[in-house]
Amino acid sequence: MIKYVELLGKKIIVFSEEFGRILLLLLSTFKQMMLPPFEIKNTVKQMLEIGVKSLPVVLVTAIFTGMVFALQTYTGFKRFGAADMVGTVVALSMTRELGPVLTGLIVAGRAGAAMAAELGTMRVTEQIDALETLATNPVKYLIVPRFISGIFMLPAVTIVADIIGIAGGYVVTVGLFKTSSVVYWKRTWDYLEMGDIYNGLIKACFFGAAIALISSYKGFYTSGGAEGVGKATTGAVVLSSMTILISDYFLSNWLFR
Amino acid sequence: MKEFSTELKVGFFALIVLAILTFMTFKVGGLEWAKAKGYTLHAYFSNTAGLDEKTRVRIAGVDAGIVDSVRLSDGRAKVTLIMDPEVKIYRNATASIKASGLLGDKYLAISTGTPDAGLLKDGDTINNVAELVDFDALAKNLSAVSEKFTILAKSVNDVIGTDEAKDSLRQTIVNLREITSDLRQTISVNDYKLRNALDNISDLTASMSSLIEDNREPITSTIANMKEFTGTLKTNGPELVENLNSATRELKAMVEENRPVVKSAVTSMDKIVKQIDRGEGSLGKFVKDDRLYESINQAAEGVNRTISAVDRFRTFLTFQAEYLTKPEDSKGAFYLTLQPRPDKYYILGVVSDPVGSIKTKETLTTPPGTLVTEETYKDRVEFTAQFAKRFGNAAVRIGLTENTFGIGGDYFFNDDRGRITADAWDFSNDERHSKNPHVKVGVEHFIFRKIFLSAGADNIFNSKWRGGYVGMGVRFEDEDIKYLFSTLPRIPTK
Repeated sequence: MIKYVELLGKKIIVFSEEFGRILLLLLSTFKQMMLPPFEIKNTVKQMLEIGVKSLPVVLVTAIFTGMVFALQTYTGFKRFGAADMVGTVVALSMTRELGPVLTGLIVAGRAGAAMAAELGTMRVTEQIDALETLATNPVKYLIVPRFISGIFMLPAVTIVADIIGIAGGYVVTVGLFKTSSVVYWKRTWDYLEMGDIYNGLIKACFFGAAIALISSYKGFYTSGGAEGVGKATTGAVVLSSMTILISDYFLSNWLFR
Repeated sequence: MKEFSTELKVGFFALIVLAILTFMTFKVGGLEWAKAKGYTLHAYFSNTAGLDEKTRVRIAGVDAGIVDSVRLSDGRAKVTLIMDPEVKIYRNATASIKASGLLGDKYLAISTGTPDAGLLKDGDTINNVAELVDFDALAKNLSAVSEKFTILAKSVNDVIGTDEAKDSLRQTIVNLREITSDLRQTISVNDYKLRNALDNISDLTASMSSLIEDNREPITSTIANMKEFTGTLKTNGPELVENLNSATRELKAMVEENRPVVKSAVTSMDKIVKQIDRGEGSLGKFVKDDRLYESINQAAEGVNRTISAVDRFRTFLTFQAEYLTKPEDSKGAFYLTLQPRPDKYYILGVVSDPVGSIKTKETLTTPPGTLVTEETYKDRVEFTAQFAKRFGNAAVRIGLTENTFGIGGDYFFNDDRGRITADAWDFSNDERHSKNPHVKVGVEHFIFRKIFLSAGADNIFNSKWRGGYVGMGVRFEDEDIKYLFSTLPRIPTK
């Protein structure tokens, strides 16, 4: 019995410790973000990694999500005579929910994993220690560029995903089900509000920050050789995805109510 | 192929993102811009059933505006609509809330009404409102009705529930059946006749009813008149008949007497009419000649032209004061601008020139006997009279500037609120200590509707007087002066 209580206590301690380290890393990141010199070259490189190179995967995901969404809602809505509302449903769900969340999950899987693996390898091969001996702050050099890129690139990729998803819905509703294209666009733009788009983008900002922070953290604190790098990568993807899905609920609750 | 740089890829991606965001902002925000257009109408509903702002307003199912706001007003919902400007709605229009589709996508339907009721203008209220059926109230009514039905059924049951009642009821029904079978027999025997008779009756009543319907009013008034007439006739009848008799007798005698006179009168009348018709005589010419009509028409046009010239004719009054850094004195001016056409105007002005007249006094100081020249300046009133012609934003002026021949030019900007002005006068260098013409360049700008500030350089080419100036003035249009001019001999128009 004591054993279980002990185990629970240990878990809580480990969790608290991890959470505390993440927050401290966040504070340190903010601090280093404000202080010059700014790692502009590095930031642009990370923007390419997180944003531009994630674009093809995100676009394929978005267009098929939009298409399947249109397909399902059309079949459902047709049963009670609301087939012309498909555009609205696709546009609203893409901008408010699917755009940011799917982009977040894909970027977490793609860029987050790469980030953790890269930093983890640097840690186990003692490159990070080397940086420190060269009087270079590793947080400033490694984490700040990733954090900034995450904050800026995720909304950017999301807006592309939004429009591509809506276009995917258009392809299915107009191309496959032969409904009026005018009705689709009219329903899309008439019922969509600026708040839907902007709040989706704000969510994406949070997701981008979370992915960058968590993946960097996982990589930064890797220990135990090649196996440790593998664990860090897995942990980064799992924790990022969980954070995205959980925080999505609370963010939606604040933003969209 | 050369590899693209990291910066190029990121920058290109950022541009695409910005383009998409702009596109979506325009598409989504578009509806709010449409808000400003159109005119507003109001309608009061006791139940809007969740009609939202920005809901569509449809006429015959076609979008014709949007709902701007839904507010409470004395316990009723005041719905404000913004209608498309080209949509006309009349006073007897009806507004009703409708739902399209099962999902309850509400919209406001309006029937435009008919033109004879008059047009609804901006800010008016649609008075005819078809209220939505309130299902709760309906259900309540229905349940009250069903309660009463229950009571009725109960009492019916009480009355005919007994065996005795049932027996007699059955007996009644049997009787009824016999009667109806008899009736059927009778009818089938006389079927043809009956149908014929019925047809005739139907025809008759139809024609009668249409006749009465068509003449309802005349018939009513005829009957009333008849009633009155017969009443009068009854009292005055005999006397009337007597009078009528004697009148006809007299008339007959008169006609007999004047038969030749009447005949000749009719003949000459006939002749005159024929003459007029041929256009002979002054009356005939008057009637038949087009020239009269034309000259009246021309006269009317002339009057019209004069009036429009007066309308076009504008007069402006300008009071203006400037402070000249040389000779550190101020200059006041009053101008009257007469503008018969937008591109042509006359400027008449009076200027008080601070260096109008100069008196030189030379005194020999004692000792040591040097000559001291003292000059005193005196204000002098000078006159300006210029003719100005305007070409687009530029204008040239020519005429008398401060008592000497002068030319000038203006450039207008900022919707005529600002003016860059250049003037040159006094080419014969009459002014004291002047070797060159007096040239003045400046800029004016209105700070309020009627008040302007000015600044510039004065007398640039004469070193003695060269200086800057700042000033302000009032310029306003006077409506009365132009009518004063219109009462003078006619203003030349083209």
